[in-house]
Amino acid sequence: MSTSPEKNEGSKPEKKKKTPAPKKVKVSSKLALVQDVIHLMNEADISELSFEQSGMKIHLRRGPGMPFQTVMAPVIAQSPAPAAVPAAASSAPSAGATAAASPSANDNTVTVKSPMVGTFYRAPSPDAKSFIEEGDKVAVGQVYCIIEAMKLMNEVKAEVAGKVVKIIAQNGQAVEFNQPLIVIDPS
Amino acid sequence: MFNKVLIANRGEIALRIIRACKELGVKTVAVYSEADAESLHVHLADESVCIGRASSKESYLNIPAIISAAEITDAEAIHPGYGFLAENAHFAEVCASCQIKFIGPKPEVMRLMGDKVAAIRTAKKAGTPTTPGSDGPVLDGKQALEVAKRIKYPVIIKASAGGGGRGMRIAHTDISLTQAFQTCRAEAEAAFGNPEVYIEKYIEEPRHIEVQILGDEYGHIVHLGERDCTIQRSHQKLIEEAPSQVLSARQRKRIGKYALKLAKQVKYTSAGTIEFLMDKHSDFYFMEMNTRVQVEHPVTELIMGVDIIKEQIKIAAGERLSITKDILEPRGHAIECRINAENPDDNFRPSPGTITTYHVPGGPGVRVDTHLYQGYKVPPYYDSMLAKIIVHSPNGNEAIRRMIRALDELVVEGVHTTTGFLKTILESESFRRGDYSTHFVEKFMKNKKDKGEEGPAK
Repeated sequence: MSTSPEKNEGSKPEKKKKTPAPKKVKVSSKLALVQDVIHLMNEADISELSFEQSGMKIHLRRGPGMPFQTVMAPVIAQSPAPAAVPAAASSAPSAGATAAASPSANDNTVTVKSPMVGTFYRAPSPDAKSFIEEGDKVAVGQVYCIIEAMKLMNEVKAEVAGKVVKIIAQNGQAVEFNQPLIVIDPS
Repeated sequence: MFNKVLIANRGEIALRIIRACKELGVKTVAVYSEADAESLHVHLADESVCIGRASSKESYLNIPAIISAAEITDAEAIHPGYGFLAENAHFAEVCASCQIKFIGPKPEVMRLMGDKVAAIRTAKKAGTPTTPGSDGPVLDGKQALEVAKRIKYPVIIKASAGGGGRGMRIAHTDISLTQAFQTCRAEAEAAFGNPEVYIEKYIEEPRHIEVQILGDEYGHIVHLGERDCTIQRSHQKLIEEAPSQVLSARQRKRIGKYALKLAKQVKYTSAGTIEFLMDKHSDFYFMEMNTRVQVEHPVTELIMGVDIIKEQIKIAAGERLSITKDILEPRGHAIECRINAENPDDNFRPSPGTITTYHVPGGPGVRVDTHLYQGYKVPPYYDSMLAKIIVHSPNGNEAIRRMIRALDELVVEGVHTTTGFLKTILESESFRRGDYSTHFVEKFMKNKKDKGEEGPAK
């Protein structure tokens, strides 16, 4: 379990000890665990927490004045980046788009990140059709894209079944390790 | 000159290379592991590429990731720094096959001098004095005993593929030699994947003297004088200085000549260092050659007025060496102290953590090569060196005083450091006298421990 408490810029919210009204959800053992974690976070005044256990990954973030929201994301098989590592706040432009490290706290989407350094291609060859388009449904094992490194074409395969919400990387873009490529909605 | 160079390293040396590139008008690409996302070299480079997870194997030793990073950023050359892939001939070959210039010597030379047995053979051919020994690999216990009989005890068994003080054992008798021989082979196999060992006469009370070499691609080679790196702990250098306090002008000339001849023998290019041991009779013996830039290069830079990293980049870009004399005259005396994140009171246990307070020493003749900043999180995955404090003064005594002054000013809080320990060495009588061998630190620590039992620790 790792925590990254936010620096309190102003005065702490006065109602911090009060637990927020629980959302109406089906109480399975998993969610009961999550509710316990939320309660704990409240008591300890923790603002953001990432938690992983037996194939389940939870990321909770407390927004200013907002009730807690829960995100459950299946573990990305290429091993998730340690949640406590902040996104590189470099003023120097890095190769390709700036990296966003964690999944959004507001929905169930999963961000597929690059497993290697190279050039991102959406199709197997320049004149071929793209592997996927936004809106497509993908199955586990389906090829999303190709990352070319040292003249070798490496297929990146889906580890999660779902719908392609957004293709972040551009065709022909240079990508680094962990760079966000595609957003999938696994629900 | 190159348009863009990728630095395949991290920490203070990555910063050092970026600085040299900036001054040469060369754009820089930093590569980093996930653990180094907030590292200074990443922030100061023009571009940066994350190449993998924290472990060295997945990042700084990850050849495909590094080459790929060079390709996507259009870097024309790669500087490997020291450690990691700096002496990896295969990496140098991969660079060449991908039309990327490797800033260092040729792969064949790296292979030749990287193999300890082959290097000794080459040194002999160049007329370099070498330690009496087996003159090649020792294949069985019987041969080991014969060698020991010829060169006389004590002897040391070394792994051909070893280095940095690893894979070595000393023997004083036939029985201990037979045992040590077997153990050494097994250890060498486990640690380096190659059980080959050789035997040398063990030089007692040695001093470690090394010579800096620079060669361009037109056959012009110079030496930049010697460094004395005798103050070591477990074969890791702690304090280095240039020039050596104990060499006479004649000895200095002689060791420089040997080094230059050997470098010319192998047609050496780029920067390299030839290491010797000097015994109590002031005889030199070739030990090994490091085919890369070394951690302690700053002390040579200060007394010789040469920027070794810039020279490496210029040489790789096809320029001729700007230094015209074979031998340069040194000016003044320089000392370097390596500050490590280790706890000297707990057997030098590594001490990673966050640097809560950091204040860097300054003033005349003080140079600090470091990647530290206040708030920096020292990762546990890599070596523990935090900073190099280097001083330059008109003579040895003033240099020692200046170093003590600089170490007093240095503040590093949040992790344990070896600063205080280094200071007590510099303040000791025996260091000032220059009267020590590579066993100095061992003896010094034992002395301290014994004294500690009698009264309050200083």
